[in-house]
Amino acid sequence: MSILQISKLNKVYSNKQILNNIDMSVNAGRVVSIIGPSGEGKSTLLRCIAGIEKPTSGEIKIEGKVSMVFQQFNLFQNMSIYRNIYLPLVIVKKLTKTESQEITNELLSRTGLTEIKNSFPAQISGGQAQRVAIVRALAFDPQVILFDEPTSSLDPFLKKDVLDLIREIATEKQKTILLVTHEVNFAKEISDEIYTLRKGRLDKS
Amino acid sequence: MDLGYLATIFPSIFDGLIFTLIFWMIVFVISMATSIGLSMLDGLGNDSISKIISAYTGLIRGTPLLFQMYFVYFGLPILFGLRIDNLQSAYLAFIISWVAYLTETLRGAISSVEKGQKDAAQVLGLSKFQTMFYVVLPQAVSSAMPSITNQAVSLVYGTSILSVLGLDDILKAARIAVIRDLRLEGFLIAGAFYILFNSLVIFVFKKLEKYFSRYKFNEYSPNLKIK
Repeated sequence: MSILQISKLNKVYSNKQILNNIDMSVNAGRVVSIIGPSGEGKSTLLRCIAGIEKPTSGEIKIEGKVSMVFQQFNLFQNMSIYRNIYLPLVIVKKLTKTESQEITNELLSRTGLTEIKNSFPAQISGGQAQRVAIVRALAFDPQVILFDEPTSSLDPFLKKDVLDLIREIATEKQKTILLVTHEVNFAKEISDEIYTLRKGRLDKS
Repeated sequence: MDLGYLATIFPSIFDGLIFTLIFWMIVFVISMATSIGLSMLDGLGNDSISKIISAYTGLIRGTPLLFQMYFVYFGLPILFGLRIDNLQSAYLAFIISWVAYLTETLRGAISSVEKGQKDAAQVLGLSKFQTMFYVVLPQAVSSAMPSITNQAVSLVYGTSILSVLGLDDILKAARIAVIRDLRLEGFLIAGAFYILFNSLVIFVFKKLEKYFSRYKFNEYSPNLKIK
């Protein structure tokens, strides 16, 4: 069953065609990678799917909620790790404080982040920040999780951890994952399907 | 040093210090709260509101405080038949002025908050207001703290023109003593009070700067590659 359907998606920035008639269909529970050189529109495609960018034309249909883990993680710098996860649950998802606390504590515990829950993003390592960003995305229980260059800010040892974590999310939590990366080997290791985005055009590899 | 003489002039200058301190606090708190509100409004992205705020800050920052105080005290009765006393005029003029400076400081700080912070808030479903209130504004205040400290110190200096409207600030009490007795001790006490006042303001604001510096990036920043 298709959970993400993209039809004839175009994005033009100051007369430059970034995305050119993108068609794509992603089935539930799949891990799909989009590879390609930097600056070819991979992140723009993800940002359109996440709703951060408005497409110039075309249609994006998503069954259920979508969440995103950013290349630079984009944790809220003014909040503790705990509050980064807890606050959106209270003010957006409108859960009670007790429910939000339970979800936050459980996720932090399962990902081994309890020790740093009172730290601020500027005080933790890149690997920890990556995991916090993933936990924050998971807390909303989305059907689709988008990853923008999940390994670009990490060293080779941490890349292995991210690989395992993404696999775990896909298999155990039954999430659909769409990630963009310029690392072909990483994409091959993790993905069920791989697409290539070059000069705004998307082709299945 | 004639301690007997100092004891006679000290109480009136000390009263001036208390008056100035209360005036400073009221002006700063109201100005800060108002400028936070205005800069949030500006940050929500409505062009018309931003233009009105720009016009206001440009106008106020383009004229000296003394002029604004005269304008409020003498001009409002002429223009609108509005009679307000010298203290109310001083409060109004100072608040109008410091709101403009603080708003401009915060606007700059808001625009310097990383776009990624807003992107993350948007993806998580925070409204524009929630994004501004919970994410952007605290970070903006953090990065603007050194400028806000300067504004707070400038406000201490600014109070020295209050006596122009006949208000009993530090300088007025000192000046009366100096002119009456032809002795400088009054100014020395006033100078010491200003230094004390400013030291207190700087001490408090440096503590606040330190508190807010928790948000700032360091060598372990997740935005840097970990080696």
